[in-house]
Amino acid sequence: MEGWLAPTELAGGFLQFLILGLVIGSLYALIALGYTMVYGIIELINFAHGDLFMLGAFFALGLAIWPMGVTTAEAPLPALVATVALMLLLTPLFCAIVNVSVDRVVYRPLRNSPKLTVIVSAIGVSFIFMNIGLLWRGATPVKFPDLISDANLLEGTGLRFTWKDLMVVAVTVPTMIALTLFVRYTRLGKAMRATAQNPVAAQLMGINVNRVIAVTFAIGGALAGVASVIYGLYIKAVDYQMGFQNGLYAFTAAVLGGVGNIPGAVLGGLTIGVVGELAKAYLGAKWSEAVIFGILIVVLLFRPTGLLGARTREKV
Amino acid sequence: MTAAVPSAASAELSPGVPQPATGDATSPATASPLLLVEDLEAGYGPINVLHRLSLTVYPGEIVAIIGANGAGKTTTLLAISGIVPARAGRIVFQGRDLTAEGIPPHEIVRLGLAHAPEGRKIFPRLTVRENLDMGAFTRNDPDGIAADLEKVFTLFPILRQRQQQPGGLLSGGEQQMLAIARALMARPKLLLLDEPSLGLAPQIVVHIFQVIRELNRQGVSVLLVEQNARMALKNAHRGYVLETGRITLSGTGQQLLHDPRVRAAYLGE
Amino acid sequence: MKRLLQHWVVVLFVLLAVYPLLPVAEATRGEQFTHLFIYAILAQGLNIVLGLTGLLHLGIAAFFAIGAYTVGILTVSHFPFQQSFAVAAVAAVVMAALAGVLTTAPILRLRGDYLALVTLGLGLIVLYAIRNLDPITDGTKGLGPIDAGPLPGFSGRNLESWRLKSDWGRNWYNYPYFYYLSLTALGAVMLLVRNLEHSRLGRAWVALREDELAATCMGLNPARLKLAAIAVGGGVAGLAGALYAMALRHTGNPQAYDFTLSMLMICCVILGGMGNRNGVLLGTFLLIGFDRILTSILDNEIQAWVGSAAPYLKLSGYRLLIFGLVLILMMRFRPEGLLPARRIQRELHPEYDEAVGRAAAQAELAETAATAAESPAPLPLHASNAPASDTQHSFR
Repeated sequence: MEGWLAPTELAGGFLQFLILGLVIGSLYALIALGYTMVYGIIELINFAHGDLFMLGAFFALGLAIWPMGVTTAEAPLPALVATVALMLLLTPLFCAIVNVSVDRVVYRPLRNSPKLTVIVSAIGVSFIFMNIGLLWRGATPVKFPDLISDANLLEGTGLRFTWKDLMVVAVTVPTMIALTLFVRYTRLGKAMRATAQNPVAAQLMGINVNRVIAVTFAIGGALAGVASVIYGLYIKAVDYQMGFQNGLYAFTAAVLGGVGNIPGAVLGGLTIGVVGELAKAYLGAKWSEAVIFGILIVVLLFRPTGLLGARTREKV
Repeated sequence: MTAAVPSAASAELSPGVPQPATGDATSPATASPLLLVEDLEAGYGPINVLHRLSLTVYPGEIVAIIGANGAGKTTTLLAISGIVPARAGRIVFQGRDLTAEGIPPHEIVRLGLAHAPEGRKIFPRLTVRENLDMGAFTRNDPDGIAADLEKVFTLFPILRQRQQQPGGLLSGGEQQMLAIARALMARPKLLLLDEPSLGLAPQIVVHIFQVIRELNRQGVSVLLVEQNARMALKNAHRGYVLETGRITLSGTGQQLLHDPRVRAAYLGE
Repeated sequence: MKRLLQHWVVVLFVLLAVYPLLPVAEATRGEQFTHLFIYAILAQGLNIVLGLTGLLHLGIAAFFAIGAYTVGILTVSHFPFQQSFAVAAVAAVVMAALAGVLTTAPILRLRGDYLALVTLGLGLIVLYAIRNLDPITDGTKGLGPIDAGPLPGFSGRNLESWRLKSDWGRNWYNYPYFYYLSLTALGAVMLLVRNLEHSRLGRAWVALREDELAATCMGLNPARLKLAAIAVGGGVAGLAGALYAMALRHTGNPQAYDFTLSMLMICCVILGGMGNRNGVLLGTFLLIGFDRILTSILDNEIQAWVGSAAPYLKLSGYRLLIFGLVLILMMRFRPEGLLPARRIQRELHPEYDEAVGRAAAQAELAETAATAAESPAPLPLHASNAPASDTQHSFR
């Protein structure tokens, strides 16, 4: 019963929770983008996305330990930088390859099947990923190397913003900006949006729809890979069920923002991060999950297609 | 499925007039066909929509397919574009057998065959300009694209003004113009137009057909399907009448326009 | 063919009914079967919502939980109610049905995928509430012990005189008495579903699943039909929950009501054949039977044979992998399930019409045409209520 309505110890901590919420939220946003892009293009709730994120974290964990044996922030700086860079390079690649392969093997043969068929397949993929995670690292949480300092960058202001927080922001924000620019201005990005809006017409324009979908899966997977590295470094523990919980938050973020909508996913991620942190602070940690889903339901009641979702679909 | 054709008229029409004899009379005998469709069968699920359908388009022609709702006009175009797979027969475009080679739809566009689909199917959340860029997706010559953009803006000045608007906010006529303009951006040799007059005000229909003729003068061959038979036949060199998936009549635009069966069934006389 | 299948289910029920009397029967195995029956009831509840009506509900476990906790609250000794199981079970069904209506009514206007997600969220909220509302639910410990009599004024203890075999229990909630109760409940639910399928309501549900727009144009009220489906389906799930709590004599670990259970039930329905009650029964017996019974038997065999208990040698370590593969392979090669509802079979394999199934299909077509409008669009399983997206189908 502690925590239930107990006022937070940090008087005026609101700003602090806001900061923390935005940091966590940008992480959710990164995962949410993978959901939203795939949904946008083939209308699939990709239940396996969260578990891909989990596999990414396991892969990154291997990278931290294996090539350099770097496991703490006290390691020499060049080794630290190299390790993190390696993780940020190879993990997204790994996740992208896995995601594209799954699309090729599982989803592509179902391209003209009813939606439910594809969703159920995605649930199947999610189960398989989870089992692989379980066999890979066992059922108990594994410590992730603590490579980034916890030193406070806002020392003396009464607020806390650590190197870790900075890392999250420094990776997620440029990634999201790059993605937005890619989708908005490049040929392939426009082809993606065109395919999402009307796959048949896109084919008539000479767009290879299967290739565009594969690229979407690659990008979504890579984003999950980036997010998994950041998550591992930030939370410092990973386990085979982390994909479910975080995937659910991220998917909630995507839906909250209006699934299929890229700025919406970012907005939704940030909203969920902030709401979750505030609920933790003011209602107690155990209610934060319920509050997040409560908010989702309330938002959908008033805006059935999410915060930034298209009001009506331009179909028929 | 079947037509709004008066039953007496359709009974009169259906015994299948032997077609190509009249049809090829005006076509340039020397040229080989740009598009040759032979004995095409296509459909959805268990239903065959097209039955041994054959037609040709010669370079420089405007060819119209007229027919009632559900006759298979749209399916014909979709099959030529590769969207609906052909179950039998062959489709030869510029000497390449699209069916035998199994060329996918996005490759067919590269061969010079562009399709402005029924109901426009523009990309509603892309701007007009982005829609046009998508039309030029297969091309890699920025100068040529810029020149063609200028050309379509000359044909459809309204699109120039609307460049930055999302396609979904255009009026029906503007969307049709955009759909045609978008198809033109592929610099096609053959343009497939599906019901370009559908749901548009009469003066806009007149404008669209003026543009089609202008395009044809510039060297684009056109295969269009229409329910507005009068407008289509007036503007076409040749025409085909499609009934429940079969070609039942063919001839020059003028021949068909004056054919009593066509007049009764499609021109309301 | 249909007669044969009917036959098959009846034979199965008879076999299960005589099982406790056979010399090979064991109490432990019998209790495992009891759980199988309970999950089969739960799957039938989901079948009504998902299979018949086409609502992709991802939170069926919530109704199971509500049923279980209603029984818990109404029977455990530290609450003042102390009702018999019969009363508590009726309350459980009512509560679960009510919860279904109350949670679904506000979200009916959501499109398919959003609806699915919100049902998932509702399932989780129920789970969190169970975990967090300690004064009512005892949090993660769960409510227990449940020691209710079967009927008001009847404790059901000391059934000594009914015992035929030494390993039979002496209380009504022991094997084989509870086994028979659960089997009877399963049979009753199967009959209910059968009758529903042939009722006006059932046909209206199917019409709604096929094409909501057309069904609405025929004068059906989709909102009320969906609420009816969720009420009946939720109630059936609540009954399963009530039996579950009684079988365990405890509401157990709240983890048992999580998303995985909902997913597992969806797998059962899909594996067996959406909308076909016999198929769903088969699917549940195969999947849950494999998971709960066969796996442990095989694990023991493997261990005895290899002589090692290494985790990677245990089949149970691969259960999710196996479920996942089954789902993917089913969706790829037999999306209509093992025993498909004929209607869905036709939709997923249009060529079926041209071959053997034409006569049967047309018979059913005529039957349904009486109540529902037929739609030619071959995209009926769309969880979405929105018009079919611009695939080739709607292009025509």
